[in-house]
Amino acid sequence: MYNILVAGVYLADRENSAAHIMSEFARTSRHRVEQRWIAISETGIREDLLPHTTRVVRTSTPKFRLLDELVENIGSFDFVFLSDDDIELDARFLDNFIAASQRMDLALSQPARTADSYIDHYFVMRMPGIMGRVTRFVEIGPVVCVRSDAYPAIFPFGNVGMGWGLDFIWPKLIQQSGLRMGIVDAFPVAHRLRKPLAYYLHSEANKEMQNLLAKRSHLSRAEAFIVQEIYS
Amino acid sequence: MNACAPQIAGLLTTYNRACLLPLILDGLLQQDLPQESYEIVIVNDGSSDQTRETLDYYSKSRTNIRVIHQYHSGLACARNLAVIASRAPLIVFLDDDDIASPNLLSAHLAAHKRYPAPNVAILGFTRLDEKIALIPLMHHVTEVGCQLFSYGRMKPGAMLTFREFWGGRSSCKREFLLTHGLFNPAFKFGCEDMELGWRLHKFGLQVVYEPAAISTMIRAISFDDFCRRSYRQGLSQAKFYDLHREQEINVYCEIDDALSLWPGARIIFKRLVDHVRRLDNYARDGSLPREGIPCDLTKALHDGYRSAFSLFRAKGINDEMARLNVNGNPKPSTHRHCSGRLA
Repeated sequence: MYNILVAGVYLADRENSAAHIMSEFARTSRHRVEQRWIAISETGIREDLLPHTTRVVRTSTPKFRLLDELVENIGSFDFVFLSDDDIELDARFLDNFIAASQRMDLALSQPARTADSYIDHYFVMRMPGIMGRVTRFVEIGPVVCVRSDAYPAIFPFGNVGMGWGLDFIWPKLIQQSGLRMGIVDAFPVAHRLRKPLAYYLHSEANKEMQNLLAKRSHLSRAEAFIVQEIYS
Repeated sequence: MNACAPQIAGLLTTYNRACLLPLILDGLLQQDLPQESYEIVIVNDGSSDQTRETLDYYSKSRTNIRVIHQYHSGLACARNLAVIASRAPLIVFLDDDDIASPNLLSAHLAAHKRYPAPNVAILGFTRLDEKIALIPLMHHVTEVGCQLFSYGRMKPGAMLTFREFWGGRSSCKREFLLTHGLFNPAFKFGCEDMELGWRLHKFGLQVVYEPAAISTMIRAISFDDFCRRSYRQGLSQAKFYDLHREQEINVYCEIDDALSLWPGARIIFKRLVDHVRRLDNYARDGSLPREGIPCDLTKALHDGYRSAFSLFRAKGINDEMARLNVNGNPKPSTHRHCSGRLA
């Protein structure tokens, strides 16, 4: 049995699936789960989301700055899941995902995206015929799982804004730590509710990413989109 | 880029063709490129024959072969896995019943050097092995009816469209796929290449014909197998149209034609197929009784093949469209778990 923290930010004033996500993460039969969510809302939040909502932010705030708040004092947790608020998870996702991720010995991992999801990098699209893959790329969302031995490499995020480009920095950090990262295909996530970047300009995101990458050691796309090992 | 990294990858997906694999693999291992400059990625799509053992044997002998065994998931999924598992910037899709000529990969590589733009793909040339080229059905589906493939009017270097992004004989830039799209896993057989080509053409995909990149098909297809293939092709054509309800795809996938053809033709379907099967048998074995065989066998045969395969495709299209209509649009709801602003 593992102690697991689920940390997320949800846009309460927009269409979201936060209630479903909280419910699915809470449904585990094998692990102890604590959930910490921050709501961004000008108007208020639903009562059923209150138990897991640690605070409400009234103004638009970069996600990773809020996540840094949520991942303080995580020493007692074996895993931290970072979750967006617009995904769909299958029943028993958490238990199955942790088992698969552990079988592949992944310190940084994420579920593949179903083929009908919005996809920025097709490298993360689900490969239905395999359990998962050891890679040099884990995207910054919509779900990221960090095992405790990777906390020093991944947390805190610092001043990374929306996090664009972090996914090309993480493989360097994970490699330097002697750890493995990868994607779990057998237990994917559907990400089809809100189009990524729908609320941001592509050019701004790109500029933000270039600024971040200019300051940090990172992989190129060609170096990152590599599968090192496959588990069937 | 790493100097030792392969420049080009041959992506072979295979399912239950263990008996052909030694010939296919020998062809891929005898390429005229240095071994370190190319890789062969093979995805075994859950075969139940000796494919696993055959591939494992070959992979032990060469370092530039990567073998992946996946649960049976269909051609599109197998090709996607090969794409993401490859490391080379250029990828060539290969079929498991085609033997690569020694210069297959180098010809694709040279063509991409002439056309380095990310959006340009290369279509190679596939011919029939002389042992099967004279089989009436194989001749028909490649030279007359062209239901399998046909290069009839193509000129070397011709700029083609998504319609010629043929799986099993095309190559492209890996990054172009990782940026703009992979094969749709819903396609288990047929149309997976055209459907991807259609999506990629919206990002500027162009296909250039390179006849020097030669592969040779060695597997003969029987009349009944081609009927089954045509039916599955029809299913996929309807699926393709369902995903992209545009007039160009309707025409390309023969949707309206099939929907109007099938209701009237179904009455004669079985008799027609039996008749063409008999013609096909006679054409392959002239010692059979001549009774009922038309004087102009060649014309009757081509007309018969064309009609039979067309009807099987029409049946597939009708069956799939009916299934889609019964089940409703299979595109998933995006509102299953949504919640919004507090009222």
